[in-house]
Amino acid sequence: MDITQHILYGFSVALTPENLFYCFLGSFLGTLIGVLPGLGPAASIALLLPITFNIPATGSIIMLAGIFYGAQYGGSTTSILVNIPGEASSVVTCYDGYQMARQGRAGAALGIAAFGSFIAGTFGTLMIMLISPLLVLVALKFGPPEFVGLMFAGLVMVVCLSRESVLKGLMMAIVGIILGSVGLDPIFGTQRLTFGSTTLMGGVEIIALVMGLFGISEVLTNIEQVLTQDVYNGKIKGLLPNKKDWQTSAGPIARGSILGFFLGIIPGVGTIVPTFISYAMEKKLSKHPETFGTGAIEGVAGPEATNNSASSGCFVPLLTMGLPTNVIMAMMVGGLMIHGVQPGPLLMKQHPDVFWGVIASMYIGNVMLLVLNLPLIRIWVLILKIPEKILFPLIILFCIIGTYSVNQNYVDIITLMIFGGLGYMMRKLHYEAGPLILGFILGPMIEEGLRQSLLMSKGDLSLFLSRPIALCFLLFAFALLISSPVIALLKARYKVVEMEE
Amino acid sequence: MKKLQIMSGVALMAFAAVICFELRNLPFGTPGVPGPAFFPLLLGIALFSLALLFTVKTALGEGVLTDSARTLWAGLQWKQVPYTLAALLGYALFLDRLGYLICTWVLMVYFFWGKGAKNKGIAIIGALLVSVISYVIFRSMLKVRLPLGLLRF
Repeated sequence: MDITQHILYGFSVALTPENLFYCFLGSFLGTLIGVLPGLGPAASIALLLPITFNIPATGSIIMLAGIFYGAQYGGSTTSILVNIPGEASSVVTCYDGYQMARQGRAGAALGIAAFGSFIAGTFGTLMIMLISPLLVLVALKFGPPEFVGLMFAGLVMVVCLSRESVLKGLMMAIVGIILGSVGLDPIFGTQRLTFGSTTLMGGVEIIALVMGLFGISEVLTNIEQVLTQDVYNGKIKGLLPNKKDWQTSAGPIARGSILGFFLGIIPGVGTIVPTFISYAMEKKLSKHPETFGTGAIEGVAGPEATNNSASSGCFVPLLTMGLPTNVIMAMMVGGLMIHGVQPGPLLMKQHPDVFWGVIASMYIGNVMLLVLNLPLIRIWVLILKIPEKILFPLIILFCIIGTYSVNQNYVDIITLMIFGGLGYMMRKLHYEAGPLILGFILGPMIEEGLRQSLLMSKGDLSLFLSRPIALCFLLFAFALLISSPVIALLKARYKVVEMEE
Repeated sequence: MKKLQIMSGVALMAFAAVICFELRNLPFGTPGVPGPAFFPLLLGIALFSLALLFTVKTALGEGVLTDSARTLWAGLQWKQVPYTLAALLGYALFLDRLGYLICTWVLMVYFFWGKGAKNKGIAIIGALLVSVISYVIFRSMLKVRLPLGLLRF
């Protein structure tokens, strides 16, 4: 089959009534949760992961993908109307989006954010369709040593590019891998690290882990604060950008789409960093940089296009090599594995419905978001006004039901509570949960690959030196680790620039 | 803050030590045929070493050791956090015995009431509505097997 047939096949899968419904549900729920400040896409996916258990694998990943890019759309609404980012990749949108709203141009800001996101999302989807089959051909040549190198390099990149210290990131990644090795040994079937508990024989429950570290800890961090929400009360009109808005925004949207997609592919970059780069780039390229921060539409268009395109880019390594580049993608791996689907180069061959169906659904989801979001803007504004004393208990209840529904075991709720408390302390002490989750997901894969490689070579580690691709990945990872002090310096500078902005 | 950071380093060292200790009876294997303890033990040792490095680096770094941990929670309603965790623990322990409806109702009353609902009656009725509606949605529609406990009839 050539690429056109693959794409048509993808659309035939994504356009079934069942998958259309899951795509709509994911996009809608993603937007809904993206709108709510204080609940990011990672927490949203953690929260909604159990819902996908009773859904077929294709529908499940279509829905999870919809939640992810829907959250990017929803986040901009909160940034523009409340000046609080709905999620981290919409932080930059606050700078000019909220100023536009204060000047009575909330409609234009919301409109250009939606159209920019749609264009970038469409570009990202097309790029995935073109690039993925080529990458799969490369990845099919990988054996266990190459995969170990790839996973290790991916993990190290995420650690090095995390916002906090590299040392802390490394420790968290190792803790994650250790937690991932709890249960039965993958080769001998021996119990390990179960401390005599039968519950732990099946391993640490991933849902309790992610819901605790993201959902519960996010609520705990929020409930101790006295939050005041100053929601924009003016009438939202003129959602369609005018000709001048389009002329000003066309360049930023195009640049943001390209920049976001290629940065999104790189492990660890995610969707947040590209938006800051886009904002800085647009400010540099603008003839009137002094208008940035006072309501410049380019300051909304560029970053909004970037975060959507980056969210598409994140799917490339996941679908083609099975490499999650950030915590959200790691949860997607978890979601797929629950359905017995192993992401990687064989995904395209073994589960073409999942591979092409998800890609096609991303395009359909982007259309849905554009058609739905602008007319529904008043509903999103109403949702923004839900008081936290109602919202937070409901989130906790969702976490409890989601966790309990997996095994119907109350111990999982205790696990949820433990990881919730741990996640809260980690936030306080600036330990990131992302590397831990990634380590937890990648750990068993790395262990299996490493042990298979050692069995292949009869314990000779020089196997990794004799395989050029594996060697390149490992050298890259070690170079990153060695240069981590330089990265730390760059990150410190980046933080200063961010604070100045 | 510095004191808490050092404590976090020590806690990670303790965690790594517990992992290594727990693996003591499992076969390590050889590099050619790695045993079940091979990978986690190496990780435990790596974690211990990194945590030690972090603790020493933090202790010798900038900042005053007597920095009060209280600064992290200054001006915050921090008591909400342990109360919420305790409520979750209580919920987990009584869920099977009392059942979903009763446990959820009590938990929601606690949250709505505790978060300063203006009218206590609304908090009680609101909590009842949440527990019944969520039960109907998850048990009847999504087929999640939520326990009935005392209300099993």
